[in-house]
Amino acid sequence: MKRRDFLASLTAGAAVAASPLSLEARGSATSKRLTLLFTTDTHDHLDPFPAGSGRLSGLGGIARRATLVKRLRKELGNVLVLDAGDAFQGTPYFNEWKGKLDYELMSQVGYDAVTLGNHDFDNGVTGLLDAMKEATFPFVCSNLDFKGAPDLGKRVAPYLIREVGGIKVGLLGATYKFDGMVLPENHQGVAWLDPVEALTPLVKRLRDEDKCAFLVLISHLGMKGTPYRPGNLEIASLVPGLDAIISGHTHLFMEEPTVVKNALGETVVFEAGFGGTELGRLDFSFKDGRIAAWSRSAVPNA
Amino acid sequence: MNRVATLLLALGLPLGAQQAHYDGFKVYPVDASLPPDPGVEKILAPYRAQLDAKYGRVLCQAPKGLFRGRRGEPNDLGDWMADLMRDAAAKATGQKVDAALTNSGGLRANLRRGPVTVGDVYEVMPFENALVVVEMSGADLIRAVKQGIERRSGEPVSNLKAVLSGTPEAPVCTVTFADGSPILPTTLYRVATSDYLAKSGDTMRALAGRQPQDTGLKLRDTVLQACEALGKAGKPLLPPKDTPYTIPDAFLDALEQRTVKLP
Repeated sequence: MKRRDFLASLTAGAAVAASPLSLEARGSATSKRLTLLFTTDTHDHLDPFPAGSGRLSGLGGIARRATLVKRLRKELGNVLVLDAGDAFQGTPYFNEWKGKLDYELMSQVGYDAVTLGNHDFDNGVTGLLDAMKEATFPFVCSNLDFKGAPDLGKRVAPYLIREVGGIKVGLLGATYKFDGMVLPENHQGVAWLDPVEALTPLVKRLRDEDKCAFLVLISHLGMKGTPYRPGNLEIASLVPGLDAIISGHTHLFMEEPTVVKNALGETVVFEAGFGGTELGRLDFSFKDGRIAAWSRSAVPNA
Repeated sequence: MNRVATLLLALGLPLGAQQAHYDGFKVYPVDASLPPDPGVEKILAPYRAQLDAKYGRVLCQAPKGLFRGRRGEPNDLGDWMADLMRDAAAKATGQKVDAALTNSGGLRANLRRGPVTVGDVYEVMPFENALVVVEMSGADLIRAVKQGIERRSGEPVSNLKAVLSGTPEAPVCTVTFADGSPILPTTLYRVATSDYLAKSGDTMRALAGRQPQDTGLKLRDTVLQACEALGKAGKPLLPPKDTPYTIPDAFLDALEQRTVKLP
């Protein structure tokens, strides 16, 4: 992506985001809105799946995804576009261009934050860093320790704070345990941290100190855990305070989100399949001055 | 005041802060009704053309396709691969190879019915893994097969057979060679696998941490060569006739939940 285009898109986004804020400032009854748009485990499926791919035949393609995302961003304004990892590995595009093409095109789509999946380490830390040169979006992952890989540490934030349409949003990330998944030479200098231990203090900090009104975890931990490691459904209970978890790793096509009740209310957990064949959307609204009912409203657009 | 408000007060969180309210969801199919974004398409098109030239070549025909199956169903693609790995490892090392173990997680796509292209094989086997041979005691080999059943309802194997009986709570699992001959616990066997599995073990931890003998072959290249040989001989690529696992239906739910522990 050309630098000029990137800056132009930033400016356009800011202009759209400004209008609902000013409505609020005038004391309008209109509540603030935020939409999350997301993908996961796109695995180098830059082109639509060919015929003969079962229910995925003819679906997907990053050029179509870009059209859809840009259309929705224009229509809705207050949008965050997220990906839960494993952009890498799956078609010859990766064997030839090592993820650089993925990140270049994901920059064109306009992702706001992306976390890392286990396969994003398939060409090691240097391979990942090389591909990241093509990314104009930030990476977020809260449960990795980059002490031994400072260059990668500079590219991956433990959390991000974004102001979207007057809402202060905290973005966190989580990735799957390396052990038995990513070969030691491919994550040299990067240590995996227990996600509950890593996320708990960050959630508290983002809520209490940074005064975020909304917290999203972009997580490659998979939907359902085992007795030995938590998945995203377990994280929703064990780390209260998250409003949404954008799930990845399990290649799960879901009929509807799972809403997990926890000590601080509820967390909406959703995973958008695999291969870029679908784009997930979650909508939230915010009200000032009083606590909105936490009950789940009717789903307007399923 | 509702329950959550009370709780927030108790936790010292400020009332009056903005509160998120979940309004709903939607799933958009990324389908042909969406025109390609011109900017993305402009970047992608020349790369696609390069791939088509390099990966579009047809190697052979797979009239029935070759599928991995869902958990508990035969993994025809995996078992075909495992047979191929055992043959290729024996040829490359000039020594007998008793069995092969591989992981279904390493196979990233099915082979669709019809022509098999170079690109199709890359989608099945995108990794740069090497074909290796490890030495394992019979006891470890049996343990690895059982771990594959516990974790994945059975991983792809060659020249091995596992029969499950009893109940999910009190299972009996017999692992033998494919012809029914016994695996001797203290005998060392030569087993073909991937360098990834030899190092990590993945779903079969009894495999982990072994010093592999390299065959000089990439796993994917053995598949490319096998498909090309079939094509040149005018033979179709067909699924293997036998499945190595006999698993009663009563086990399927428990295996899916990963609650079965094999003695």
